[in-house]
Amino acid sequence: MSLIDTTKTLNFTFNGKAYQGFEGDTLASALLRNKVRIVGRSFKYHRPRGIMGAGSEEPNALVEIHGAGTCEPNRRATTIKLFEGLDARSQNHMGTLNFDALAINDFMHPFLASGFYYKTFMWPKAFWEKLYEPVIRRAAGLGTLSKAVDPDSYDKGFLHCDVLIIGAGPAGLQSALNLGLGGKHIILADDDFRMGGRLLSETYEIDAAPALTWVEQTLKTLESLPNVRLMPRTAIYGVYDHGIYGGLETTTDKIGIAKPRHILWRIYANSSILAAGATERPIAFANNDRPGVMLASAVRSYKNRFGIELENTALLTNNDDGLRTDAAHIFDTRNGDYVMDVGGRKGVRSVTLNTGENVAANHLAVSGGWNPNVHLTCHKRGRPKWDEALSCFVPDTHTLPSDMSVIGAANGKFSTHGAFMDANDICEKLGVKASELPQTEDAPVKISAFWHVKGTKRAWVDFQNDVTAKDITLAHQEGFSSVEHVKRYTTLGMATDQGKTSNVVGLAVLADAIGQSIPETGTTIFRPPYTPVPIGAFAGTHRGQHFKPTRLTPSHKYVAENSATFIEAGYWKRSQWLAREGEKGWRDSVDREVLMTRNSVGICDVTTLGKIDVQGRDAGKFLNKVYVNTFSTLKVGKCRYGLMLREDGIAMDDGTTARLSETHFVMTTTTAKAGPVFRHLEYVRQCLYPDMDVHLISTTDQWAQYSVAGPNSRKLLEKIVDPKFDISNEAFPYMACGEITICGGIRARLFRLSFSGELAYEISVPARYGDTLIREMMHQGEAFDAVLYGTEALGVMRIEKGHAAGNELNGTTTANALGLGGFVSKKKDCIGKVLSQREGLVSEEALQMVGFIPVNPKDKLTNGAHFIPKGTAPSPETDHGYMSSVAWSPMLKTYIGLGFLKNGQNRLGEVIQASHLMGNSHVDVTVVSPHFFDPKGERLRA
Amino acid sequence: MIIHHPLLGPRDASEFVYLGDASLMNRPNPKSETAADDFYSYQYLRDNPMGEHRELWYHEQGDRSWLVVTRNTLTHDITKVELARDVARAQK
Amino acid sequence: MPKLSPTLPLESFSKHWPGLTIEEHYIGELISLAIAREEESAFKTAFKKTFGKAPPEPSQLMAVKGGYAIWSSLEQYLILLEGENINADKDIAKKMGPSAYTTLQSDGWASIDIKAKTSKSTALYDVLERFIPLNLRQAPEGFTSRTSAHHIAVIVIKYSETEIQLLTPRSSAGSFLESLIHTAENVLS
Repeated sequence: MSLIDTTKTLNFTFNGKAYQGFEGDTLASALLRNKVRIVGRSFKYHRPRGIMGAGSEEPNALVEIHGAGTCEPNRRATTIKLFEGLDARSQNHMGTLNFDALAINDFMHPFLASGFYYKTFMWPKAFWEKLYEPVIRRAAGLGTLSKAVDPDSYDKGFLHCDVLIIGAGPAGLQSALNLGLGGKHIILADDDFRMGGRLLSETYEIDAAPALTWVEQTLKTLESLPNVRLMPRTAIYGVYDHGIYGGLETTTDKIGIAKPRHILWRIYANSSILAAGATERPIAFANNDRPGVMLASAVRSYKNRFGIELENTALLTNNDDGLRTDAAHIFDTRNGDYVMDVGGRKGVRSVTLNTGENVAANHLAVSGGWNPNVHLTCHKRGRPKWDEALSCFVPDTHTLPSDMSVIGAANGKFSTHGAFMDANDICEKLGVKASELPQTEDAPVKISAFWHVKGTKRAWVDFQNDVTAKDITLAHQEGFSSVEHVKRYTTLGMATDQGKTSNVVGLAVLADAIGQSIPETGTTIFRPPYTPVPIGAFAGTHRGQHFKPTRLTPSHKYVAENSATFIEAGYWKRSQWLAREGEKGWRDSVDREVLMTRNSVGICDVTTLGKIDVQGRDAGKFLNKVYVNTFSTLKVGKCRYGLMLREDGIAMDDGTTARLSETHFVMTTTTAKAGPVFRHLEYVRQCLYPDMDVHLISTTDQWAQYSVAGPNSRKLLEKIVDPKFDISNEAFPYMACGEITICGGIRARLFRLSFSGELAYEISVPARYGDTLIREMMHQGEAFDAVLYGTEALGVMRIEKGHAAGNELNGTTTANALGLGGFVSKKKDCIGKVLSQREGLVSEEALQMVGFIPVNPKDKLTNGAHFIPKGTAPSPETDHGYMSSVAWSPMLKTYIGLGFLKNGQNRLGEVIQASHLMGNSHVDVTVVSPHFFDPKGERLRA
Repeated sequence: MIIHHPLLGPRDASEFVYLGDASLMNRPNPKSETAADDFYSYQYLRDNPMGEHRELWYHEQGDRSWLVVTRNTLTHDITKVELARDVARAQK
Repeated sequence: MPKLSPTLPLESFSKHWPGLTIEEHYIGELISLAIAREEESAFKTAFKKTFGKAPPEPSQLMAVKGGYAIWSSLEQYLILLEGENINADKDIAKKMGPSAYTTLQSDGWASIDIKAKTSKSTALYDVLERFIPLNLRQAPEGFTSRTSAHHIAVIVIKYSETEIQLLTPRSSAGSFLESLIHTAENVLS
């Protein structure tokens, strides 16, 4: 009956040794097929461990796969689909798997009981950093990371459906069939590479034929329906708000292929059906972790699905389902038989019973009952409830995520017939006619609770974290009796398997120790992800260069042709400087750009600054609300500088706003604040003043905008501005603006604005002409030796003029601090006005922006230096402020700085110390006006 | 999380930017004698309820409308979604 | 006088796969129209006169005189006009009068056309489900919505079962297209 294709042989290696398996094998089944008994060493005690289960619940068989640079640790051998060339290695041993040097831990076990971390490594204190921590770090964790860049690719996607069915066992398949034939858009997801769930591992009959026949027929029907999406190898790992689910699809475990290995799906489902089945649990008894002790259901999986007969198997069970397992020796706890000990450190050799009898066996199948897979019902704080008759936790229908129904074994209906009935019921509830109930087994659940054999030897509960029954009773003895405390104190259920085979057994041991019932003890619940999700899958395609979008300016191509060095300003790439041949470093380029601009003319792309179109009869009134100064009085054809505050009185952003008509303003913002300012303006418009006639729209990308600055800027512009527009100083004075045409009728806007302090303009064209315009301006500019300048030169020039920029509008400074206190209109309210008057913000001791020059012209200034009175040791008490912007001024031939100093306006001329503790520099500076160059602004108004 | 926009239907919360308590819409009168205290409370003091919370969300990656969303901070259930502009107008 | 020549945001990009084509679409002119407060009925009248129909409802593309119109925000519409006219916003402003505020938007956006070869090919939706969060498979013809894809704003227009147009801001259009092509390669190659 097995589902293995024995005609397709696959070669693989485990710990360097070559083996063969078949198409349809997992790594685990292939290892068992090759009689490999030991597959790893346990976490704490380094005991030899074998394969225990057959699915994602597997606690022991954790392997790392692939080569050195691409190593993936902690993969369960039970969920790796075998492929040609798979290279896998066991984990967590010093030396070989067979001779692990750290096995000595097993003999130290009395000292390594739960909570030992809190009791040891306490003394001497100095040893912690130098000895204990490094040693613990080396021993901690299970696998190792390659630390190389992941060469594989991942992807993400979005799916929408009426119903998401989680699990493709009998319950899930029957639901999918009903709903699919009923026309609903459904997704059927299962984390296995074959759909069929438990039907693949048992020998049930459906409608008097092998269950597999029904599975195949059902899948064929489902594949033919266009409204059904089958998603094998897709683990639904998380339930989120409002019907959103996370699914991880695995396309392959192979590496080095072009296609994405995993796709992370965000699934929007109107409702969901959890048909996730159940997981068998073991029983705790001495040495129950020996290689060869396995879940009875796994023994049947390996026999029925993979065609592997495990030799000389004994069976320990407390329920009827376990009796389905073929075993040479059967021990039923309900008959008073149980296992006291298991012999065979490197593989089961014998089983000792409570009668004293010693039975020779090579495998011991254990069935302690089944736990419905309720995990997903807990992701939104649902709490499962205990069912005494079934001896397990079942979902509590009152606390399920919205629109989720649970059916089949996940709902405590363990028979195939029960699964089909549940599936039909739920479909009727969803308004779809269910198809006829297939005829199949309906065995009742017969179980007698039996959790743990008490004794002196260690009995394992959590195999992956090496937690024994003793650890749990010890935790209780030490006062950690709440189930949440026991979990953290013992680490029960905290390994990568998240306690799938251990939580309930551990809970039962705790309940027994306390002397209360399981419902009284309660249970821990679960968070996403149900199974591990690679970080790469969360990143998808957003890696490296593609981590975030890139925004390019209209002149990007041109400046790239001219050796621009780019800087990232948010998503934007802006030219920082444009090097010329012979220049040795950035200072050469930047100094040159400043000198050439101030001496003749320079052009800089300022498209990135936010542009917001503000239109309406109340546009001026609206601007009065958001700016500290008045804009309703701004004349058409003029620009004005504006400062915007946050409601707490701190400066938010600044810019210039131009008035193009009675009802039309164009606001500019800084590059960084374009988005947040727009958001703020819409908030003011819609939430605070919804009755104003004002509309906003962003036009940052719509208009290419260039700053043309320098004594020859007007002459250059006269070469492109159409003759009918008079841009002489009289006709177009400082702060004028207007709509013009250039180059024979091309629509443009001109603003006479200056950030550099030079005679300057900003010229704006629809972005379709951005590239061609800058080329044309530079061509016309040849006559004036025009230069392209970048953000560094832009920065130097504005510092020379004492203009505040992002460094000064840093989220802590006020209008007063910026020297703009007088700019705040006394006649009107605006956002931030009231709170800006708070005592601490207006006191004499408040910081004020001033300029700084080194006393010794050879000294360098450092940004971030703090101002300390001369002759005092730097400390928070002697701290009088900080430097916010520094530059080498080619015009003044010295370093200059802007910064904030307590009561700075009244301390001009004072010599103070600028201390940069990280760079260990202390420089004497003189406090000066921040307007270093052309303080009267004569060049501006030329 | 999904927010049911009154005009656009269900939208993923990732299209939105959260601002905070909808009490921000009740901007105090700056001319009042108690303006300083009023603005201090308005700006800094919040109830932080466990349960129903009225809050402001901005549909930045959609229609740029501001919405008042009534959301349960414990269960995350959203029971009401209104255009902030309509709420603001009704308040006047 | 020197002449200036316009450039397309994506330089006429075009790429073909069996069953699917992704290419830059010449955008024509985009004009944003906003309704002046308390001028709703004057606006509707002027809109009908200018474009031949009443303004569209949210989420539905509407064919109008000269192109298409979509609802973009509260009291705001986006008009997609065929042909080149850099002063289209001023022309419309004249026709609409004081009931409307107009803004030129054509240069702020890039337009990408994604076309399936036949209605039987699933390539179009297989690619888009990895890229756009909306349920495009089941959306009706004429469905339009603004959302974000790979952290970039996008206006999606489903012209027909086999043709979908994406409008995205000009400055990040190169980045957007790169992501889209990468996604198509992931699905189709």
